[in-house]
Amino acid sequence: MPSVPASAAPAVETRNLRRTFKASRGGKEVEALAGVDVRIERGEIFGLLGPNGAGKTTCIKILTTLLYPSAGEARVAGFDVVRDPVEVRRRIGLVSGGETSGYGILTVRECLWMFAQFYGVPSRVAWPRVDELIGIVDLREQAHTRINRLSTGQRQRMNFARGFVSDPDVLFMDEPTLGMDVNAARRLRRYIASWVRERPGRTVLLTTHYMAEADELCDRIAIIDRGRVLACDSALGLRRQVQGGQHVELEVRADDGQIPDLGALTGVPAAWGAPHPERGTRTLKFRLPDGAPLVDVLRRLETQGAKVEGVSTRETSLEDAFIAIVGRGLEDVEGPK
Amino acid sequence: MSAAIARLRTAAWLGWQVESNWADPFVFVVYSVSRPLAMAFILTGMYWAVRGTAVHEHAFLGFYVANAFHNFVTTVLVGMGWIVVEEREEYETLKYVYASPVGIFTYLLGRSSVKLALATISTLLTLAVGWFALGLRWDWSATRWAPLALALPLGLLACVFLGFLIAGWGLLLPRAAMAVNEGVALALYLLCGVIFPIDLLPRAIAVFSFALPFTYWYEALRRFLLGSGSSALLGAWSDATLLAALALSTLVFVLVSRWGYFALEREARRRGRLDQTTLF
Amino acid sequence: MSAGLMMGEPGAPALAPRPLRTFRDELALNLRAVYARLYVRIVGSLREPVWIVSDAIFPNLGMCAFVLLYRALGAPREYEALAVIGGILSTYWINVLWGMGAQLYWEKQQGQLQLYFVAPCSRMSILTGMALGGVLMTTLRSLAGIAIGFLVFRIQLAPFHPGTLLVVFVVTMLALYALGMTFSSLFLLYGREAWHVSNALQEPVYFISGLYFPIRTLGPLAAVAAGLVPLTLGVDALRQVLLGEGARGFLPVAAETAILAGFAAAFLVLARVALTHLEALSKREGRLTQRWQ
Repeated sequence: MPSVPASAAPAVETRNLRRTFKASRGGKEVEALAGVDVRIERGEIFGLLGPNGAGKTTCIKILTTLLYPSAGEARVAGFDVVRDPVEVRRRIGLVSGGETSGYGILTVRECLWMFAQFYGVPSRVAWPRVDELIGIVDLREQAHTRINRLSTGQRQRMNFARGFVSDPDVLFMDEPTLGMDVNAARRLRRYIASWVRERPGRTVLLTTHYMAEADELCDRIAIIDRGRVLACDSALGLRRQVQGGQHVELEVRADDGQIPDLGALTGVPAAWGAPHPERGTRTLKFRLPDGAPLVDVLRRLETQGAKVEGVSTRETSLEDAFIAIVGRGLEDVEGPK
Repeated sequence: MSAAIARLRTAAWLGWQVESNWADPFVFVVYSVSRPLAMAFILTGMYWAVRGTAVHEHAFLGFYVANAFHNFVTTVLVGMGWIVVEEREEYETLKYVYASPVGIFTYLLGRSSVKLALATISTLLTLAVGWFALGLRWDWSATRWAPLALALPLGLLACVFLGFLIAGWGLLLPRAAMAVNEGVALALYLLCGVIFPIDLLPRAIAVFSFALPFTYWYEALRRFLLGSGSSALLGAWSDATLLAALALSTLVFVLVSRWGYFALEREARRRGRLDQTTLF
Repeated sequence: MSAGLMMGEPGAPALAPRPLRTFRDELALNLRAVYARLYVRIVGSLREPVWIVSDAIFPNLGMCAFVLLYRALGAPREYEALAVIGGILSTYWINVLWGMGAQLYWEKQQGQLQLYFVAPCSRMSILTGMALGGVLMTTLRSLAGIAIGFLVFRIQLAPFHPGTLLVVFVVTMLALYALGMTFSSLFLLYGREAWHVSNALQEPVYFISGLYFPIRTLGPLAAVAAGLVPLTLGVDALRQVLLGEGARGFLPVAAETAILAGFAAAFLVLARVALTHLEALSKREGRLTQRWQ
């Protein structure tokens, strides 16, 4: 990649980024990233969306200098992650969901202060900043509580705060609201948005499983699966890619009371969906093209012995776009027929 | 009963999975033998420094054999202490074990069974090195197998229950304090006549020695394997008396250890320690 | 390094490029990291006082075993002092192995090692903070051993110069903890195997470093031992300072101290090189963030 002055460089740039892992004890090689090209401008909130094992965390580990790429290049704030890792680290912060948060024996306040020191923040700056962050994540009552006595959600809020303690230029957030209650997650999403807005140039790269989170926060979203970026656009742009027709969701039961087999149903356009053993039904999701009557589909199902117990339709969502692009949902067990 | 055996078997399988993950056989052999051998060499060095000669052969043989069997104590003690810390802090499974019907005793017993097996191999290897490399041999005709067969499992039982006590203590301690496992193993050197006869202990300390089953165990192993022990005091006891003392002290020890473990576990629960991380 | 502006300042200007690092910035950053990690060690020890008791008692019982053995052998009194000093120093060795060597491995097992590797401070500064904390807390615990030595066994020391003792002690600690830093990088790569090797090394190191007997007893092997493990020379030098001729020293104190200083420098360099190399290797193989290895 041609080098540009660091001040003019994008926040993150990758070219043909690849990473393979050798399985131990003679197993196959796993290609976690198969050539990822991404450019994130300064001031963006950029989302990385993908099912489990898509390569999101591997990508973040490379960008945060925890892992070398097998091939390709990656730059953060204009600095190569392999050749200039220290310069990269000066400018980044990392928040990971569900991780161990630090030393259980320290209080919340002490832990955040400690990490500020690792980033060279003088104590006279660090303590007020820590107290401000503790207020933002609503941990004022737990400020002097030892970390090993916090709940999961409280620890995650502390992790969240830790990412901001060094006031980074680029913040990597790997499922940052994992384990948080709805209100806390909402509050922190608003904070992320305001944090970026306050100072042009601050950038956030966010991975998440929550479609709504990506939809709400991200200026642009890259959809990644099996180590490749399949699409990269704003949420609206992604929805437009698959617009047309209606999204239909049916709940069906077989006449004999069994869960209908997806493979046995014919004539339902590219349906997918999970079984619900507790109810004895299956959800069928599909996109009905413009002009195609829903009643025809319902009749076809009836002749195959599938009783429709619920129907809902809606406009294209980000999840629909995701499913159309990837071929399955984030949590769906089966793909489309 | 079959459910309990199945759980024990599963815990043992898990213990094997953890232990077998790390080393090749050569490293294992070195690892098994190096510690007891090194301790034997330390004793030799101390003796040589003072007397300028080698230790009297039979006395040294007695210490070497006891040192070899002390492998069980060290391996099981240290092993069970670390199991608790690893399960609590690294694998974070201790809380799930407690919340399940498997029972912590069954679980620890299963997990530590592999340690016992490894300690057996270490002990045999240490004795073999002594026999073939160091010329530390004894007359097999002096070995009395029947009392030996009685004494050996009693001592192993005491080892296991000492391990439970240490595991209970480990529930309360932070990770950094797990050197206490090694410390207890070292303390038993002092108290139980591993490297010198208990006759030499001051009376105030000897009281503790006579309360511990290991004191009788090492003496019994030496007497029944080699033909004679190392303590003049215990040497005056008949075989039956020695075995009875071993059995009785083991029984008391097992009961006290079991009670002690559950008391420590209750305290750990009261303090919320079962799922805390304590690294610093 | 600039700390950046406080957050929440309305109308703040766009992010300015971070200024170039100066030597002073680097020094300040790494000294802060040292202090922060030292703080954790000290606070952690003080907040878990229950272990101080067990940590003070049990290892010293082992020391008592060796002292009593010397009494049983009819050894001169200075041999008992020799064993007490060896016992006290063994606690530092244990701290080097487990409090330093294994520490990064444990951090990796708990999943927080990556937080260190994402931070811009040097790993050496974090290890230095750990080492300083370890020395301080181990020294406090070794007071129990000293108390047992003086009050129970009534050991007697030769007249000594406190300044000499301090210099020899500090240099010994530098060498030992620098070795601990080197261990920590090996632990990082080899994980559980390194754990087992450390376990296996305890008694052999006690033997080869003459913790409980004068190393001179080993004859020519003593020279080999001295070249392998800094603990050997540290124990011998400290004994000579405290016991004079009674220590049956191996080399003159000045020579041993100079060699120890050389060890310290060499291990510090080796630790840095090893840590850098092994970090790169771990990142290449993806082991840096791999738990439960």
